[in-house]
This record gives sequence, structure tokens and C-alpha cells, in this order.
Amino acid sequence: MSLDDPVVLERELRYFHKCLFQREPPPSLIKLYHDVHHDRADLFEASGNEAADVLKIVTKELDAVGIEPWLRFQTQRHLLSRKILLVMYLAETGGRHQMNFMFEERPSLIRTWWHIAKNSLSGVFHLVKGFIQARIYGFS
Amino acid sequence: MVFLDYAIIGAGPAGMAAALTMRKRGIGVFDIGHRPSTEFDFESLEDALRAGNSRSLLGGAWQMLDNLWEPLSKHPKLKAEGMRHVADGERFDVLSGDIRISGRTSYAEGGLANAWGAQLLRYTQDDLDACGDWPIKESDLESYYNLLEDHIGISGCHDDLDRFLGTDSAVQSPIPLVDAAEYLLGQYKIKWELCNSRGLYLGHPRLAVLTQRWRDRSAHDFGEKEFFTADLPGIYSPRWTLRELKLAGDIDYFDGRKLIDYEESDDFVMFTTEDAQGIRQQFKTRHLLLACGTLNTASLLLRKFGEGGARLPFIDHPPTLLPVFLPRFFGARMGRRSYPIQTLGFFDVNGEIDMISLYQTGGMLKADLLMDMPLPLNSSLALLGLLTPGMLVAQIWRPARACRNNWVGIDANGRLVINYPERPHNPHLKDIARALRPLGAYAVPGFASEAPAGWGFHYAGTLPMRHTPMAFETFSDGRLWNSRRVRVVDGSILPSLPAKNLSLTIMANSARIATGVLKCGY
Repeated sequence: MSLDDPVVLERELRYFHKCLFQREPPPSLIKLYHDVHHDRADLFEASGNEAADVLKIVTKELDAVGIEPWLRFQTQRHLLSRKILLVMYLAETGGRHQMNFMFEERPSLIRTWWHIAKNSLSGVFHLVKGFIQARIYGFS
Repeated sequence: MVFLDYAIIGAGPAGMAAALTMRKRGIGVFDIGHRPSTEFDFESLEDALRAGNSRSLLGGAWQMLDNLWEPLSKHPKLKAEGMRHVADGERFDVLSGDIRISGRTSYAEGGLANAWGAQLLRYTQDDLDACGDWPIKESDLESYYNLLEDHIGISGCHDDLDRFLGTDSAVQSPIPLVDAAEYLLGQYKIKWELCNSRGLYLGHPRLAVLTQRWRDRSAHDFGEKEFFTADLPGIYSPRWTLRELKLAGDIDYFDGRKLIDYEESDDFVMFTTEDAQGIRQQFKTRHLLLACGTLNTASLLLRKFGEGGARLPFIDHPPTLLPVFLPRFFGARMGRRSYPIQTLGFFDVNGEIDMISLYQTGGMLKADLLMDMPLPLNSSLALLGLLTPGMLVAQIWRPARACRNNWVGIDANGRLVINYPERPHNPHLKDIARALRPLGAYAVPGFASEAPAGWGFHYAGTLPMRHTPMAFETFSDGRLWNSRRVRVVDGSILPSLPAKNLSLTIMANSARIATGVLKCGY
């Protein structure tokens, strides 16, 4: 199957969405994901092993959000970074993820710092896990 | 052949300041005049996000996603479909060490000002003395500052920044601030002596953003749409002046025309324009004013007079970006809608002055900010929601002067190239952070980043004014070194830049030169 096959794209979107938001994407987002890949194929050209990396991450259900930062720091972004960031753009503008993007006030300073600590630690955990997986599977 | 007493090339800030000065005197304004291809149909960014139509925000051809692959391919303010026309002119490359960034000049009606931050700040005599090389004085510009501020409408306040901005400006009430910025200024009003002793002065910015109706323009609606459309009547654009002059019949307007070449004789200047279909037309004028914008004017003159790889000095203000945190606002609601620029500051160290503009991040898509945080994107998003109510971003500018290694030229392929390797790092970040601390604002100098070369958009200095100009320099009355009837009025001729936005001074200087043309007697 080619990487712009609708089945392949849907599968990777469902996986990335689950990594990011811990739930299934709405059908509208699936369609938008296809549309962008169709309309702007230029944004998803893959060099070297990038496409294989993405396929491996999705099929083996590796920690996509943890691996992505390790591939990010380049002048041109890795295919994984581009696809996950695309999901973020589509989620923010699609009107169905307001709870994630339009932030509600926290009831107290203590709860605020608790959430800051929790999210920071979670981020570090995923980074460490992502680093290990990137090393094991040889992503670059 | 059409004969005009005066011809102005360009309808950006410089062109419109000149046209305003010379109105009704037989002037023609020539402009390529690109306009937006789409409209932004929502009252606010929040409404657009709630509507959930991704294409309306990301573009019909997903233009906002251009940076997915190359983060530096497009400045965040120029990505949206409704802003593309602002920078779709001549291509140029900026070389900064190993990095090559591409950009485009502006052929837009209103110029790059369509995407500006709208800070309009006067230069003082201290500014000109400190950065040096200016053959004119602040007093030469003063009356034009007054005239333009009255025309444009400025919001702001007379506060501690008067010593840096002057006391003459008549201002409307300042823009509404987000809670963190309001708190910061409130704390400064209590602890100003301590801050001043550490070199920091804070106050309200002076903006071409209306908080009350002014002339025929309504007050700004603060819908946080500035990254998506330039069609905001409450924010001044030279397009509004162009519209006024056209409606009044005070100018002849020739749109869709690009200046190709000119020839000067004793009695007139003959110039050739070309339209989008490639049809050329010749005009004659007594005086030609080049207001095409620094890079467009440089390109024109390099191609006309440059031989053997001529290089012109190039000045810009790429800012240092420093996040500033006010932890008492973490987890709070973002509060009222506002404008990107919140407060203005100056950091005065032994007479060397840096300018600090503090921005809030409302008005941008969150997805645009996520890659700047070195964490997984889901963690970054959650943290962004908690931190941004208590976060401002300081853009810090230093004075800019010409230096040998920063130049603009035409390469062997005929492309405009800017070489910009010299970017001295700001040595004051630790002191700025220290000065902010008593106000409950915390900055870590290690988190600072430098805007990419070419992203200051304060281009200047390519044809500097001098008392006695050499080749590719100008007289203080704007005349080219080799000319009697051709003048430059845009940012090209500013010889150095204080740490302040240059827009109002470009306009005032253009108006000064235009007045000189009217009085020159030939």
C-alpha cells in the first residue's frame, strides 16, 4: 500500500490522534487529514527512511509523541513531526477539540501547579521513552 | 505621453506620507498594488475557531501549513491566506552563516505596513545622536510627526516613557491590556524607582490602533484577527490614506504598474512602467520620488547603476525573543481580548538604549507555538494552556548601524541577496531579567532566542543620507548622489536605526523631503 493510501492515512491519523488526545478522531478530522495530504502532497515528501519510520511507529504503536521531539530539531522537519503537527492544526481549527485548545480557568493556584508538574513530568516520561524507542528502532 | 508635476512610486508608508504632503499638486502615485485574495468573514478569531471551518483559517489551499516542513519558510504574520499578498514581490535570500532564508519584498497596496505591529514612535535627538550618522535633526521632523500622528490617530498614554517618546503626541486612550500586562504596569507604578535604578522604564505603547473613532475610521474591535487579515479599519494602514486621496481626487492613481527604469534630463525625468500584462508605458515628471520600500528601491538602483557586484549596506532590527513569566497568572483565564503588543519598555544602560515590546500570544493559533517548546506536543499544549495567561514575550531591539559584512546585492543569477552574518547578541538579557523581577515577572536568559535574519522587517540604510553623498548615497533632501530630480523617501535612506520602530520616522522624513520638493523652485 502506498503511504498516501486512504486506509494507511486513516490508520496513522487514528493512532496519532489517540496519542495526542486519548480518544478517537471525529469523522470530519479524518476527511480533513486526507484532504491535506491530497491537496498538499508537497508537504509530505519523505526522504530516506522517514516514511518507513512513520509506518513502523504506527504499526508497532510506539510512543509517537515521545519520539517526535527527538526528530524535530532540524532545519527541515521529519515526516513524523509534520504529520503530528498537522493533526494539531486540524484539531485546533476543526471546532471539535475546544476542550483541548480553549482553556478553562483552574480553580486554585495549587491545582494549577499540580497540573503544571503533572504535565511536565508526563512530558519528560514520554521524552525518555521516546528516546529509548528511537535508539532501539534506529530512527534518525 | 502623460506628464505629471510629481510622481511617487509606491503606496506604502513613505509613498503615502509624501502623497499626503503633496496632495492636489498634480501628483501621480504608481503602485503594483497587490490586494488580498480573500476576506476574513468572522468577527473574531475566537468565533472562527468555534465555527470549526478549518479551511477558513488554514487557507483554501492550506497556506497556513507551509511551515510544516520548513519552519522558517514564512513569518507567522505572513502565512494566512488573507496576508499572503503582503509579501509576494521580488524574491530575495538572506544568508546568515550556514543558514539561507528566503523571503519576498512587498508589492502590496500599503506595503509591508499591512502586517506591521503598528507601533508609531518618534525618534528623539538623543536617539539620533546615540546611533549616529544622521545629517538631519529631530527638529527637522517634529512638525511632520505632529501632522502624521493627527492624520493617523494614535492610542497610548503620557507616562514614564515620555522621556523616550516625547510629550507632543496627542493620544487616544490606551488599548485594553490582558491581566498579566495590566498587573505588570500596575506594579511598575509602585516600584518605578527600583526599576529605573536598574535601567528599566515601562509604559503603554503608542500604537496606530484606534480606541475611539477617528475621522472616518471606526475604533478597533480587538477581535484578535491581526494574523489573518490586514483589512482592519481600526488599525492604520497606508491604504486608508490612499483611499482618502483617491476619493477626494487629490492624486492620479496608476495601479498595477511596476517601475522598470527611468532617465533623467535637465528638465524632467522620463520613466517607464509595466503592467501585469507586460505592457509598458512612459511618463514624464518634474520630480520622481522613489517610495518602493528599502529592498525594492535597492533592487531597482543596483540593477540600474550597480556594476561588478555592487553591494549596499543593509540594516535591520531582528529582535531577541525572551519569554517573561508572571506565575500568579498561571492557570487563570486569558481574560479580555486585546492586541498583540501590550506594554513598551526601554532599558537604559549608560545611555545605550534597548527597546522592549511585550507581547501576548492571543491572536495566534496554539499550533503555531507548540514546536517552540522542547516537549511532546500533547504536553506542550497542556502547559501552554496553563502558562500563557501568565506569559508575555519580550521582543528586544538594539540600535542598528551599518557594518561591513551586512550588505545587499544582486548575485550571479540576478537574485537579490542579503548577507547578514553580523548579529551581535544582546548583552543585557541578565540585567533586563533582574530589572523585571521586582514586578513579579521572571525571565530566564537561557530561554531567549534570536529571530531569524531578515525577520526584523525594519530594513533600512541601503542608500543612507549624508551631507556629502558618495555613490549609492543620498543628500539629506533625498536626492540620489547623481541626480537633481530623483529622490528616495523610503527606509533606504535612514543611515542608522535607534532601538525603536522606524515606521513613523520613515513617514515623517518622507513628508519632510516631499515638502522640500514643493519648495525647491525647479
